[in-house]
Amino acid sequence: MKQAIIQRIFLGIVMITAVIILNFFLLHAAPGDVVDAMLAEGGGGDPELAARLRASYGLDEATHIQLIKYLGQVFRGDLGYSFYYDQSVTDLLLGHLPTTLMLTISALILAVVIGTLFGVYAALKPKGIFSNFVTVLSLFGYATPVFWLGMIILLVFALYLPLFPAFGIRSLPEPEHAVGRILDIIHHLVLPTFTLAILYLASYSRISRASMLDVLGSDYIRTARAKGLSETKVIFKHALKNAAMPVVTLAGLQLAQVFSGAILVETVFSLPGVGPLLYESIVRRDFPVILGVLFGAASTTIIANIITDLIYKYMDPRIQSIT
Amino acid sequence: MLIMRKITKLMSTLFLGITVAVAFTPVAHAETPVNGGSVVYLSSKIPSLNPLHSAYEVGLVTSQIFASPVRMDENNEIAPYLAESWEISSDGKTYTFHLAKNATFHDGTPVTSADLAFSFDIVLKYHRFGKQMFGPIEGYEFPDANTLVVKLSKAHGPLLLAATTPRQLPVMPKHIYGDAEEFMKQDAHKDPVGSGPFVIGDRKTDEYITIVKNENHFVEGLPYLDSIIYQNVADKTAKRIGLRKNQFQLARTDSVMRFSDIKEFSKIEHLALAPYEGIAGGAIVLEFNNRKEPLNNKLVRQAIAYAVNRSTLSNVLHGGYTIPSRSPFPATNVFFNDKLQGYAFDVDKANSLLDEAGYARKSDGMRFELNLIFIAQPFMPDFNTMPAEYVAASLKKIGIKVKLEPLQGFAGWAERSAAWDFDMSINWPGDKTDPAIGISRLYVCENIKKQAYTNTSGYCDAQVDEIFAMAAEESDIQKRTSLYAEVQDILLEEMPMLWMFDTPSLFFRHKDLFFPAYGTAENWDVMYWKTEQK
Amino acid sequence: MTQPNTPNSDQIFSSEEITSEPDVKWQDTFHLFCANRAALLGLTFVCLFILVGIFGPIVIPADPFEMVAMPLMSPNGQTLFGSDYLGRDVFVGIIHGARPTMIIAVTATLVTVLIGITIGAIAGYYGGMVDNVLMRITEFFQVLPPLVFAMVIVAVFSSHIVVVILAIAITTWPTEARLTRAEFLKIKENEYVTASRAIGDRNFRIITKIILPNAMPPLMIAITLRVGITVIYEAALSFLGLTDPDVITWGKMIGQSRDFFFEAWWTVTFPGVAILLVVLCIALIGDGLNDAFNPKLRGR
Repeated sequence: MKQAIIQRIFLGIVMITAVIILNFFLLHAAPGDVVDAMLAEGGGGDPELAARLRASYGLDEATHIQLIKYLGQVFRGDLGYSFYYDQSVTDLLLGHLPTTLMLTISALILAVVIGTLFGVYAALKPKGIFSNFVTVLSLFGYATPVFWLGMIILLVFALYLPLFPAFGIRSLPEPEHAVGRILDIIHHLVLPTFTLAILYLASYSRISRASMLDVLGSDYIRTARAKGLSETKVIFKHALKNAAMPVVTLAGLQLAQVFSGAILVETVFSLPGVGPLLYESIVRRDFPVILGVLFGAASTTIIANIITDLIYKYMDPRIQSIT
Repeated sequence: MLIMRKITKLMSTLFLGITVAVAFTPVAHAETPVNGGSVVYLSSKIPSLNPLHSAYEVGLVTSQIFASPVRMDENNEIAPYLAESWEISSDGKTYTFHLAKNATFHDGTPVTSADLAFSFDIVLKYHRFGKQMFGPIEGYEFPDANTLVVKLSKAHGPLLLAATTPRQLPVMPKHIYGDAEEFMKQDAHKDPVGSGPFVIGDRKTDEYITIVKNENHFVEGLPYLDSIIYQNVADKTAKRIGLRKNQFQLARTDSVMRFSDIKEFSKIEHLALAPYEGIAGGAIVLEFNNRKEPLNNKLVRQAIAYAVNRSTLSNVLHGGYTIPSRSPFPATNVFFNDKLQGYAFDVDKANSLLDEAGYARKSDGMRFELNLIFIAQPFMPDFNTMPAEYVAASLKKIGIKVKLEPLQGFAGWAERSAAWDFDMSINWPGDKTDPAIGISRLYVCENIKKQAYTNTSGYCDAQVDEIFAMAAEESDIQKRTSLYAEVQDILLEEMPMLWMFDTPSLFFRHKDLFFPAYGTAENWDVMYWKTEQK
Repeated sequence: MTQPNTPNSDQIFSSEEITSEPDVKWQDTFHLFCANRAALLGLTFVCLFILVGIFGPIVIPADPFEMVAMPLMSPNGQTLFGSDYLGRDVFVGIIHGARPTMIIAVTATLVTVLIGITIGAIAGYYGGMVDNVLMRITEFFQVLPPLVFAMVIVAVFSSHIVVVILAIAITTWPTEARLTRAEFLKIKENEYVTASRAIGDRNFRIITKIILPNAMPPLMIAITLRVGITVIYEAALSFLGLTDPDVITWGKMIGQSRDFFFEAWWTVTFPGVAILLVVLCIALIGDGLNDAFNPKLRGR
């Protein structure tokens, strides 16, 4: 077990290095660099100034030398310096990551919990109205573009029914009390979290419904029932645990995808998360930031996958996975 | 004639060598300014507080943190700021600045002539327009701590105008920046120390920046406001909701909304539109690659100019909030030639010019194909994507197929532009107040360089070069005006690029807020509430 | 996705039967599918959209890039769905946008599936070292957030339609690869596979002629759903401005007009509804296929 984890971590490091190398070369093949972008944004410049800036940012060296230097830095725990932001990438990421993590994790938890409950409840009465509702919901969740949904939610719940703030992660001025500040942040996160969650809620309710039906029909549950356990106990103690497993597996696997969704949601709701930071950095060719974000995203996914595996192993794998 | 008055006033302070020694006093307005209060400005991202950073919004903050030697007043005249007076020698080669004795940086150190000289040097070396603005500076003399003599190798018209905003010449403390080697990579940019009316307060990267009144500001009685908050909001829908709900009291229209819906927002009761009446202008141009066939043919370039209905573009698609360009100089420029009218919309003429140039329509109705590079959405689509699409649809009618090539962000566009790898390009060069800084760079042969915003169109004409060179060194206002008028005539005829529309800045402000929309629209220390705020 | 039905291992096959009669009962499936009203409705609508894509531009030959009305006109007699910010007809845009939207979705799906199935099949069939290496590569592509990677690719290689299609495919194939591999792992243990190996069939033949047909049911469902996901994926890229300007797609219409959602709801809503409808119908077909392939699991 321990050895397996160590092996996975080692593989993870190899993979992250590969991610960095591939994207480093991809980005350096892109037309234009950060000096072009910054001079053009200011509407001026001349070749001598451009050369001077490139030299001071270390962009005048050969790509492979830059790569080696960069990798060396990363292994020493330094993600480099953002030219556009005039600050270290680590600081920049630490400033932006909390928002994205809060959004992604709360949306995922919401989707997993509500989705599973929906699915389980629907599975208990497969022909009932609620079951049909879950089917329809999952169809719409699959078919709705998340940014489109976000725009509509924004208009309805921030403008026409002004219940929630339209942008940002906190009010200005911030509430004095620490509790007030936390509530304020939650208030700001409600709409984006639900927008992102609805999408995944739909697919999780569908999967858990299917897997619950599977489990309910299995010998294992039949045995439990035959043993005379109460229906509530059968469902919540035995069936639910197994039915939730594919959901958990999927949630772990989907983390990278949820991150993609978060980029769009953060854009629509103007959240100061990693998404907008990344988009702007790609457009501005601020390579250290892009690589830093990719590094962060890849490591998070790898860690999440390892954790998912552990959870998966912890939960009794008597029922075969569906993924 | 408003423009002529503007010129005379401006030039009298610029070139006649007179000593100006009026201390800058807060302007008397119809209303009495209320001291105090706070304004939330709807901002884009403010990535850094490096005063030479390229992002426009950074300049809006650093212009309040730093002060410049001189500034523009409400009549668009050059007024004292850090320099309480200055002299220009009659040959135009020596500038003497006398700094205010009570001026101090935020850390309490006095502002000295050494700081000013240091700032000139840094700007010359690291600013995008350093060379155009202060290129001829040869050396300095320091008669005392408050007097700086700047020596030039030749007369240089734009110098004083370039020193009117901290965006172009922030006076920076030498004792803070001077020790480090690389100016662009300094820790000091995190907490900049200037001598301006505000100091940096609370802030969170990518969320907001608060600036707070500098209690020890050297200009008596300023600033009026207690604080200004720059709130970053990325999404347009969210921006509009915030503006409707009075969460922002000041916003630049082009960053908030599309021109077509300014009218809608003008109806909101607590908002008022503040049209910019300053001297810095710019225009969206359709740049032609003059080296390449068929655009090396003047007739083709003229035909394209006739084929694009710029009046529809400005008056219908932009809702009348941009102005069809009439000349290579924006109409706000002091040297704008008022006699010029630009090219009319005339499809028949365009067709006959193309026939005359020898590009007959082929069997499919098309004559030839051109590509058009521009910066893709979501970057200011009214100035990029929309004109590009409009040009493509318009040129199709005269048999020119346009291949649109949107590029992601400035980097992609700048790279293609610098490589001269385009047929046509949507470009947005600002005039930077003086033609010698912002306009001549696009046309003179010497500036044909592998760099965006140089003369990337490859246009080259000895006569135009000569006129621009003479005008830059000319100190007689009338002569300078007539030189620039002449060059505008030539350029309009040659059409090295199509000047599509001027892009005046518009601000939405709260109706009770006084906003200084003159000069370079950055003197926010004189911004005030007309009524007491809760 | 639910479990595919596994072949009945009790059956004994002769080598002829192995090739001529795959395990999946296509006829039953077809009948079951036809009995599913929702799926048929979905199929009808999708066919309708395809017809619009093929014949729409012929029936309504107007140029979708042409500025025909005043900008931002609400729906009226002249422009059925109103006009956008340049005065282009939204209705004409949707009709002409159907074809490119479908072509991008279908092409990108085909490329995705081709890469995914090839890698998944090889990994699943050969197992061992080959499987290990291929799965590490698959994981490599899975740790990168798809949209981020697609953004980098488009930013590097221009937003030409081919690049967009490839970017979508490169970032999404791992799902198909994993699914295929799982099926292959399951199916290759069956006796009929072992049998055909014993009579000396070549690997390529076993993969393509014997295992693949049996792995088809779950793959077909996945492919169907992938088409819908791709429509939305393309729209998301367009929303971020990563789109080909010479091609009109529904996603691009939303992306370009999103600034006007506030004042001109029709510019965003109609293309959005078009996407919603098509993807919804594709989902119904996917559901129908699922039910038809797995009659035991009906209604799940």
